[in-house]
Amino acid sequence: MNANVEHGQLGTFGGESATPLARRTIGFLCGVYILATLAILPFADRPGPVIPAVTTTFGAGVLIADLCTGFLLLAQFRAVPSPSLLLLAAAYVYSAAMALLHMLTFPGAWIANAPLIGTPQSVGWLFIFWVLGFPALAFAAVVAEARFGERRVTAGRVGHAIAATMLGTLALITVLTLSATTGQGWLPHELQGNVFAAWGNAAQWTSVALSMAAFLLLLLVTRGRNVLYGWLGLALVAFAAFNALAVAGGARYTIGWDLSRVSGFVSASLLLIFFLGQFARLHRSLASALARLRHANETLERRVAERTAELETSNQRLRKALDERGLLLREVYHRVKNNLQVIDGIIAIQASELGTTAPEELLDDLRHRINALGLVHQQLMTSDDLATFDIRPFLDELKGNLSAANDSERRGIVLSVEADALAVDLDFAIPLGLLVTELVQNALKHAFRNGRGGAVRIGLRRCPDDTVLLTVSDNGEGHDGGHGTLRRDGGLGQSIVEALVFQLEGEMTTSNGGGTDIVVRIPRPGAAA
Amino acid sequence: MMDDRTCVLVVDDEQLIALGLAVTLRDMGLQVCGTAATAAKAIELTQTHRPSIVLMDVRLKGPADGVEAATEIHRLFGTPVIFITGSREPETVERIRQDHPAGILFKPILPVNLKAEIERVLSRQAGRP
Repeated sequence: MNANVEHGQLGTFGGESATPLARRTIGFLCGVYILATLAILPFADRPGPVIPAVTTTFGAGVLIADLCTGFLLLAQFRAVPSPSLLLLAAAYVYSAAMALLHMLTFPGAWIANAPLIGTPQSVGWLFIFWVLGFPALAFAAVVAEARFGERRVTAGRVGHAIAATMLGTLALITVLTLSATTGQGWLPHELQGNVFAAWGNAAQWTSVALSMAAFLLLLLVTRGRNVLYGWLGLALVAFAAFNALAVAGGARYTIGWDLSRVSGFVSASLLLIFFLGQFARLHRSLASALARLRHANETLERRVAERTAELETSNQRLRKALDERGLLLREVYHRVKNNLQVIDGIIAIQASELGTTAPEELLDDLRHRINALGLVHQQLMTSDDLATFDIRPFLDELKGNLSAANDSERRGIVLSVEADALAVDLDFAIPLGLLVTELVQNALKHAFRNGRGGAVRIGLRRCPDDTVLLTVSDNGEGHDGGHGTLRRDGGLGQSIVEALVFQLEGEMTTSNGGGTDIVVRIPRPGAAA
Repeated sequence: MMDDRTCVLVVDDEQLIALGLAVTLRDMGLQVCGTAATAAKAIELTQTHRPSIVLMDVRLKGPADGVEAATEIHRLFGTPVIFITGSREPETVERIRQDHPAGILFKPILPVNLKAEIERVLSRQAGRP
């Protein structure tokens, strides 16, 4: 909608303010119309062109224009039920009916040289009723606007008000028609041939006065604020000119009379043109609003589609994460059960040594092995991806636990770790942790029996050939690994250490000389096979 | 039934589990003809030693798993296979069941349960014509 235009109610023109341009245009046209009329008046009584069809054309034009305007005003009244709009609608319906009656009673308009209804005088009387009735009703409408202004007919009574007003108008028209067609006995003659009677001229001047009074009152009341009443003002000026020119012409087919028909048609058409203009503008606004709505709809649909796609992606991510979580959880449960079975296996292996090793020592060994398993899980818990961790803090902690458990400090044995950074997973860390535990335990048990103390070094080096070199070295007495680890007496011929080396797919070498060096070369985890 | 000639093959990629089972079996008076960590090794050892029974883990090292190894062993040698698995996942259990296993044990297992299962399988074998 035009930003300069304010509406009393959306989609109506009843309470619409006039733009400054509309005000100036209407004011200018009113001025020009008045001046032009005044300029023509001295020449109005000169003979004009005799156009027999002028009355039919004029009447039909006014009938259609006034009827449409009346109907549109009633529609406006339904939207904005102000009493002035209803009275104005009545004025236009009245004028339309009078235009029809004018044609029906004008001699020669329908049938040659005679009126279709009534007597030759009927047209004069009905014309006077018309030119007095319309400005009177318009004046009443302006008075109603001045008196009631913003007051509205209550919503429930709008239909009733319309029916009552239209019935009243119809009754008035019927009475006036009957008077004009049957009252030749008591109504004074208005026409003598083509010349108007003096009282008829007085009546027309009264009409001019009424029209101009309505115009001036309208100017006073609305001050040009209301665009509908602005155009009504111009219509009233044209109506005043219609009468002034006719009466100044003094007879049919004078310049004044001929031009009065034109002015009458202009007067009848102005509000219709206004409404048509407003409809055209409303249509443009609607079309533009629809285009914007369609655009907004498309934007919205696009955003919905994008959002849906985002949600779908997000859902897929969540589903994937959920699947991964489920998988991880099942994996953890599986690991727990497997580790319990590993512990069960270790117990079974150690149980077979009950006859040769003290139960306390066996239980201690068992606890160290379980501790190594626990440390692996502890590292996993604190890792970022819950799947891999760096081997160095794990080895440090394992060393600390083995040192403390074997009373190394008091015995003067120093344990140390030198390891490269290496990301390992559970499958690698568990056998490696158990292997380190076995080898360090063996060294602490068997290499320092003389009580002189010494050192045990744990080393883990990444080699360029995609292997890892695990070393456990001591500077003790030299030993063969000791019992509790090796089971050479058994038919199986395998020890825990050998089993773990086998599981790591490693190769182990042992050398003695000023201590024991055990070196295990293992394929690096994650390296291509 | 169980006697000195009864020989068992243990298949598990966890060496300490395999070793523990081997010790347990030996304590039961059974011979352990070997341990394998892969399906290929399991099939190879079955061919070499013709064990009376195979204890089979589902997860193994290498491309083939325990179910595939058992299917092959059953097809080639008709050796009864007892599955020892840590997984109770329905799809794993279903796969095992479709392989017509001689028995299923879930980790962690008690030696007494292992012994009962082996005896049950061996007695059924002995009852066959």
